[in-house]
Formats: sequence, C-alpha cells, structure tokens
Amino acid sequence: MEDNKSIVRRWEDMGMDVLVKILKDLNMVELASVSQVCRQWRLACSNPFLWRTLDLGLLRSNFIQTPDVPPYIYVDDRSDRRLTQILKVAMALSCGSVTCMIFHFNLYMKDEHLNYIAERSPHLKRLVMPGWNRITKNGMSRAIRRWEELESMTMPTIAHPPYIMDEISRSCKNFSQLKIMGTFDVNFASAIATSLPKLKVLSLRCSRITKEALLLLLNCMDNLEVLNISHCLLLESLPNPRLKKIIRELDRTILEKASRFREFFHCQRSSCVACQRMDADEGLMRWYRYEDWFWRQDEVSSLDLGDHGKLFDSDCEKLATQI
Amino acid sequence: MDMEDDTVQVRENSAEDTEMLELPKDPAEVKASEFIKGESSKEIPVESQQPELPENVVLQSLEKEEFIIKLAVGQQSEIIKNAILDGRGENPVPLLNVSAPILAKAIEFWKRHIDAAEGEDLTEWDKAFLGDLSQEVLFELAAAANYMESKSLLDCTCKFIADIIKEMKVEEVRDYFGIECDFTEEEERKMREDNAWAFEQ
Repeated sequence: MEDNKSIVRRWEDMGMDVLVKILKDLNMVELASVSQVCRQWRLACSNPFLWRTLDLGLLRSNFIQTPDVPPYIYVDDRSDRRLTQILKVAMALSCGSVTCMIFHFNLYMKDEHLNYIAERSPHLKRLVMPGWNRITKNGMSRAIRRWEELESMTMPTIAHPPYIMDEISRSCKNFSQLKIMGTFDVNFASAIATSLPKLKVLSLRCSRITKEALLLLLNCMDNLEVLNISHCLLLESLPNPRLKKIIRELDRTILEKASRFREFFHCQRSSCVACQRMDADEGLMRWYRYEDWFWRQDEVSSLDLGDHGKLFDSDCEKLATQI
Repeated sequence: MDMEDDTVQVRENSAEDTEMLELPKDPAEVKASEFIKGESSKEIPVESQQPELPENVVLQSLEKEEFIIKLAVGQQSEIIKNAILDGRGENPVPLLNVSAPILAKAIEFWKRHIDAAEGEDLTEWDKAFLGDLSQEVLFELAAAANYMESKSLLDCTCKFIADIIKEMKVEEVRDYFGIECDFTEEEERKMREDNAWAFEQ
C-alpha cells in the first residue's frame, strides 16, 4: 500500500496531545484494546490525563447480608475474581498515576484487593470507599502506610476509629479532608480531634450524630474550616440512657461556635427530601433504596463526586456481569 | 504545538487596512462582554475602551491565503481571540500551521455554531459535517483545532474519532491509521493476559 507512509505521517501529525484527548472518551475496556495497537498508543493509553480519577462507582459486589455472622456480608468468589480482573486492567494501564479512587458502598473488597491497589497507586490523594466490612485493621493500616500523599478519605463508621486516625496522622502529612457515612459518636469525634488536629474539612452529611460529638468537634477542632452536618439526625442524650432526644433545631451555642467556620452546612428542614429520607430510615440512611447520584452528593464541593466519568461506564458494568 | 516562532507583527494602519476593518460606529456601544463570552458584562467607560476592536478579523493560512470572518466567529479559537484582544491586536492573524482547506472547514464549523439558535442541538449537524470529510482532512482538522485552541471544534472532532475507534478491533485500528505493530509476540501475549477480562467479549 503506497498510501501507508502518508497515513502514518497523518496520525503522528495529530500528535500525542490530540490522541490522548481522543482516548479520554474511551472506557477502560476500549483502552485496554487500543493499547495493543503499538508502543506509542500504549503510552498514550497510560497517559496520566486519562487516569487521574478512577471512578468504579458503577461496580458492585454480588453479596448477601449475614446479620449473625461477622463480617455480616458474604460475597461470592466470582464477584471477588471479577473485581480482581478489573483492578488488574486498571492498574496495568494507569501505571501508577491514579490520584483519586471511588468505590460504591456495595463494593466489598478484601485486604488483597486493597493491597493490590495500594501498591500500584502510590500517589493516591483521595479514596472514596464506604464499604469496609471485609477489610481488616491490618489491611487498612498497611494500605494507608503506602499512601503518603493521601489528602482526602470517605469512609464508613467503624467500631474502633483510633487505629485508623493514628495511622493517617503518621503516614499522611497532607491529610485534610474526611467524610464519614453512618453514625458519629463522641468516641469518633475524640479520635479525630486527637489524631487529626490539622483536619480542615469534615462532612458527616446524612449521618446519625450525637450532640456530644458535635460539641466536641466545635470545641476542639481549631483548624477545621468546613463542617457539613446537613440532613443529619442529631441526637441528645437523656437521663435515661436508653432514650435519646431528636434535636430538630440547632441552638444558639452551636450556631455561635460554628460561625467561625468558612463554611458550615446544616439542614434540618422537614421539606427537604434528604431529611425526610433520614427520618424514614431512622437515622441510618439506606442508600440502596435511592438514586445512585444521591449517595455521591455532598454540599462541600471538594467532596461531591459528580458524574461517573468514562473509565468504567455502563458498558463496562454490563461486561463485568459476564465475568 | 510549536508556538516559539510566533512572529507577531503589528502592521500600522494603512489605507488598505481600514477598508477591511469596519470600525464600530459608536465606541460607547462596544462592550468587552460582547466579545468575550461568559464574562460578566460590565460597563466600560469610553476612555478606557479599546476604540479599534474590529468587527471582522482576517486569518492567514499556511499558504498566506486570507479569510475574512466576523470577530464573534473567530473567538471560538483562543489563539485568534487572544491575537485580537491582547494589546493592539494583530490583523491578519497568522495561522502558520493550518492549511487553507482545513481553515475553511474550521470556519464553516465555527460559523454554524455561532449561528445556532439558543439551545439548538447541533450533534446531528456535527456528525454529518465530520462524516463528510476524508480521513486525512478529519485528522488535520483535529490537529488544527488543537493548535488553534478551539475547544468546541477539538471536543467535537475527538469525540467523532473516538466513536469510530471504539467499534474497532485492534487490527482494524491499525489499518485505519496505517500503523505497524511494533510489539513482539511475547509482549502481545502478555498484554492479552493482563487484560483478560477486557477481551472476554
């Protein structure tokens, strides 16, 4: 084909810049495919521009709840293998350039998955992983130790927060943003205040929190600039320890203390859909009942997740179910 | 994108120039916000306005062929926009990396987009417009859009090419771009293994 030479000149005239912009539109399966075209294309498919954010928010584990048996979640082997394969592809192509990883609250990975991604994403700055059921303390600690550049984490409520907060304070010098999904009591607040005194941003939106915990944050977190307690179920202890009172309105003390924040988000309006859902779910938001974008939202812009991005789209989701 | 040799020569106003440039009738009517989309419109006091923001812009292709277009059309390229709005503005704007036929296509695209009604969906028109082009012109247009920093044109051409290669197998992509595979068989085997899930279709 005499035309071959002139055609080769053509795509290279377009340049890497343009090629990478074209590839930005492809999902990871398509990227895996075209990365085999030639060396230049393999390079282009691994360009950091494509891999800064790995949003696997459309991937869920195939699981059942086992309320009597820790860790209260059972995931089948096939689901684990599927996750392994997907992570393999993503880590192979991204070549260590992922800085933000997002997982669905029903994605229950094991220590081995976590370790795998921690080893291959040393520059991770942000982790959104609301499903820790199957991860051990050791597993999470080891992962955090690899992520020295970690700045932001979205996590579920855990039973013993101090060990995690400790590890973060030791390993992640730039850590400044935390989001907790679930419940938030005074022990959690205390762990944060002790280990993460430099924390700047905290979101507890749609969680069940105690007034005690809130006051501890307001009193002790000197460097906190942004606090989000929108749609939270705020509870106050009563003399009878088995009873709690729901606080429907923030009192002046709280509002005054919170006025020092650059941004203080709160919402307890009965007309608000999120607040209504919190009420209906008795303070423990059952995210699975609602739209997918709902759990991804946050009034704090740096914590809001926005759209799913191209890397793992609905086509990938469909393909994944065939694994 | 090589911008080092950007020879910016501001020509002094000559008689020929003023024939091509239509000065605005009333300087007070010219607001910077009309030329820069997206910025909040502020009233600019007459004294500090650039009195000679032209209504038309002249673009010069690689072959030195000249194209006259309205400023609003040209501002869809950051290079053109900056060339006119920075300082005294240079006219014609030299686009040394863009050949005349490609520049003509870019202008056609910008014109259609500028003329679009509020909220009009141009995706079908875009697809037809790009679909009509030969592969060579398509690639050159993408390169030109990148060089001229025209987001609308670049996004459009890139998406169009992306949609084409999404449907292709590896060998088909190589054919389409005329690329020779430079991997060893061993390397190819390893890649296939690493990406096993992705190829189980």
